[in-house]
Amino acid sequence: MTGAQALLKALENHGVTEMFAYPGGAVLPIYDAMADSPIRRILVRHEQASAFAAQGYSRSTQEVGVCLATSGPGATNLVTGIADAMLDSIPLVAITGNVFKQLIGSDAFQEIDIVGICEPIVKHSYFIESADDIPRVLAEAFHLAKSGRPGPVLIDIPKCEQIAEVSAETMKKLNNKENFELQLPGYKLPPALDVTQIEKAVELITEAKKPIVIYGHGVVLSNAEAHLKEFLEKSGIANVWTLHGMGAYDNTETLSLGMLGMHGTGAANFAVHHADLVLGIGIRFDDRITGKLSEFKLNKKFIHFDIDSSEFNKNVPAVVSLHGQIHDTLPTLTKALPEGLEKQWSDWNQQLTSKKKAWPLDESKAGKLTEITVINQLYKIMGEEDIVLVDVGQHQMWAAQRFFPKKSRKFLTSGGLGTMGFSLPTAMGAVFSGHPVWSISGDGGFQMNSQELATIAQDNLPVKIIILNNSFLGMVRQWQELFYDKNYVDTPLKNPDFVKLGEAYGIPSFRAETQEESKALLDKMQHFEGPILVEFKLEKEENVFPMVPAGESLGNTMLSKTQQIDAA
Amino acid sequence: MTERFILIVVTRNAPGVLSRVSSLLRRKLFNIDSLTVGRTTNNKESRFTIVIDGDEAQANKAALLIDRLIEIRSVKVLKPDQCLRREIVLARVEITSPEQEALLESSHAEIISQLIFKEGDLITLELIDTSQKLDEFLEKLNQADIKIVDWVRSGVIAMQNLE
Ligand SMILES: Cc1ncc(C[n+]2csc(CCOP(=O)(O)OP(=O)(O)O)c2C)c(N)n1
Repeated sequence: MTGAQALLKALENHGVTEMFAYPGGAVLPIYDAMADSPIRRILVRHEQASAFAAQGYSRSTQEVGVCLATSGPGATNLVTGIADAMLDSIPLVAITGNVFKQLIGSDAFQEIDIVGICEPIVKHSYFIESADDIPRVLAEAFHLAKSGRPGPVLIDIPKCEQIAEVSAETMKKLNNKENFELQLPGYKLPPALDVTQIEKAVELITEAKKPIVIYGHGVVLSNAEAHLKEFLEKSGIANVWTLHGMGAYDNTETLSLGMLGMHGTGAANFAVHHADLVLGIGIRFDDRITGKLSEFKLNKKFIHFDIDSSEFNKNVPAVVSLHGQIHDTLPTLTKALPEGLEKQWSDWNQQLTSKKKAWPLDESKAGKLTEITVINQLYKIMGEEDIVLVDVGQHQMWAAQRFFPKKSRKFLTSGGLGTMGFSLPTAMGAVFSGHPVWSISGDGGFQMNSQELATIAQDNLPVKIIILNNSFLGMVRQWQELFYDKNYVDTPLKNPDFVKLGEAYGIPSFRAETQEESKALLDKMQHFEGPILVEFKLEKEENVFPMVPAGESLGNTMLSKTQQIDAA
Repeated sequence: MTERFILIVVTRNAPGVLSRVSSLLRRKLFNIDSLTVGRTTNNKESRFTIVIDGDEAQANKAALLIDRLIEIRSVKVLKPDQCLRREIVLARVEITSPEQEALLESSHAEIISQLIFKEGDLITLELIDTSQKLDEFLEKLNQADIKIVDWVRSGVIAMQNLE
């Protein structure tokens, strides 16, 4: 059994049924061995897409997605997808081939130090020294990718070790599906919960007059949705969410005020700005939610829940830090909390719900086809299990403000890295969840990975592709309009005919130009089997509000060009 | 002068650990005064002594980030007065007058340890002390116009004091 065969057998033993891959010289031994493996390969058209598709698999199924690329340019093409997984804490195993060990360091053809390049953007990485290590390293990689704070793991395998024979013992263990012992003595999972922190948290909560909960991705990654619901119901504390917290709680509840941050709702930003106690549950207080940090921190205390202790006191000082899986820490706090606290903040809650009513989101414009029209129409017809992937830009924020999925893992987006071109390839992986998948992109972002239409057509992946065409790099145009005197440099796009483009790949493709056509085509998409593409020709210069101008405080949230929340 | 804190980091003795630790410190913009690494009594472990130029909050932050790396066994943050610190200097100086020689002798008498090889005007010294004492020694040489032909410092190694 060669290293290549051992790799495929080990992947199979880990339950891998699909992988997203692209061939090349340095992975040929692995491709050669694939004929005997039951693992289905999806042949992407650009390695970046393989990393995103693998992420889509992870994001939608909770399993670990796997991608594979050749050395040199194949490996460097993975980098954006790996970085994206790192910043969003998405489990991913990325496998690259490399040149023969004897050639490493000689600037050989297609030799690149991918372990070095990826060092800051992986949870961990391996360079395989010996074929015999492959099954153990793979076991470690899956464990690391999934456990604790999840993240991407890179395994770089020089071609010589793909060809080399593994020992008879390794082969026997693989064939018998035995476990390989992990050698991770330095890898620490969180310690048992510190109960004094729970006592302190209860104290802070009972002293608070204006508390607010911000929940985020950590709740989803820790599968703590039910615990969050219990906590919110028992405490009666109003809540807001981050982009990745979406769906972790029933966002349509009265005390659910909306997403917070740069394009958060007026009520959510108002609540966080004026709160005296913030409970940050599985969030990392990044700049897109805090706005101007020095003002964000003013006059409030923080209780921070996270699995990664390096998050505590990184951006805000935590009076109480609850280190661990949220499914452990949060229910402990809920239990310790006295009943009937909500009376203490009923005035505050009332103020917040009245703000929520006073500052509704923009409606779609009568008679015009805009992103908001399409997003509202889609949200209305979507099933509970449907997964929506958005790209990056204005449409991402409009959608994030208006989607209220009943479950987590139903709204997938690139939050941390904000990678244009995310939606289409990531949707290819999400298809394997078995749920209906809608991929939404702007006309700009779509073209960052439009080559994947070929993959979608070849593998008949049932992605419902929505292109929201406003003829601009919309989000950048908005900034140019608001902060650079409408100096629209390089944001107007001369686009291809997207319908013809889809048809060229053999994908049924349509165009909507009115609200009626839009509704009819969304209905068609909903019931369509197999891939389908619709281009929506939209109004060109719409702006996303609310908006906190970069570097300003949440207190300066603009509800429109002329109205701010504090003034209201 | 900003404060300095000492991190004692025990890691697996695996390829790439040094690069993971140092590049982490670089990309998070920590100021490193010195970083030394060597094996422990256990062949499978390495031990780093990292002197961070920054306040306690920064030192703790660095410790948490380093600890997050998979191959790290333990990280300890110490104040300078909580540990025994030593650094080695090898120095080669040129002595051109009896005054200079006298000064050199009186100066290195204050330093914990020295060894002298003498070849003509050139004197080679081995000095072991705290970084501060070594800095003071260098200052004295400069004041006496003693020419330094070669000078190398090892970086700090440290061990926690007994409680
Ligand atoms: C790979 C990448 N390059 C550049 C950017 C900067 N950027 C953010 S949003 C945006 C415009 C997106 O335009 P489009 O895809 O048409 O979507 P819209 O904003 O119009 O909804 C750009 C260029 C980015 N986020 N990602």
